[in-house]
Amino acid sequence: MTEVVGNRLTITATVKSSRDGREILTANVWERVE
Amino acid sequence: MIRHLLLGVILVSCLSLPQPAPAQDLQSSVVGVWKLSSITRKDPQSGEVTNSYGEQPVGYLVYTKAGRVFAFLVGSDRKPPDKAEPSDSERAELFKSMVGYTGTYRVEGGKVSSGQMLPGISLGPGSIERK
Repeated sequence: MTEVVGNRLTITATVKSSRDGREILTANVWERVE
Repeated sequence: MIRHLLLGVILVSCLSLPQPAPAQDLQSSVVGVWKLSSITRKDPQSGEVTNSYGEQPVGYLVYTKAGRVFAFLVGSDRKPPDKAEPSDSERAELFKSMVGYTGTYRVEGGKVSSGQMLPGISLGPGSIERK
């Protein structure tokens, strides 16, 4: 899921661990520069 | 009187806080160049949160108006190779600390979804499988 609040963009996703296959929640936070 | 004034200040403060972009504006709000701030991973079972690419990962994400997305990022703990031509083990370590992908995206129902990702371009551990 992608959400934009002000100049901040957050991408959250569920990925499978390459080690044991378990699901892991990831959050990538980005700041607008252009 | 002071109570009303205080409530007014709180109300104005809340109204001025950044709010999530409405669904119809999401397309225009994602277009641009974004610099990576952090990447965290949370294990739902243990609740443990980790900075999977170090404390200060570096990267950029670009969404174009035409519906293309490009992303590339590297971890903050990358060790540069000793020589201009990295050894196989150095290549493997460098690969582990990077993510790159490109393809198309679309906005539907207030959500940004990955479209067609360029085959063979999505690189890096954990970078390919996005739901």
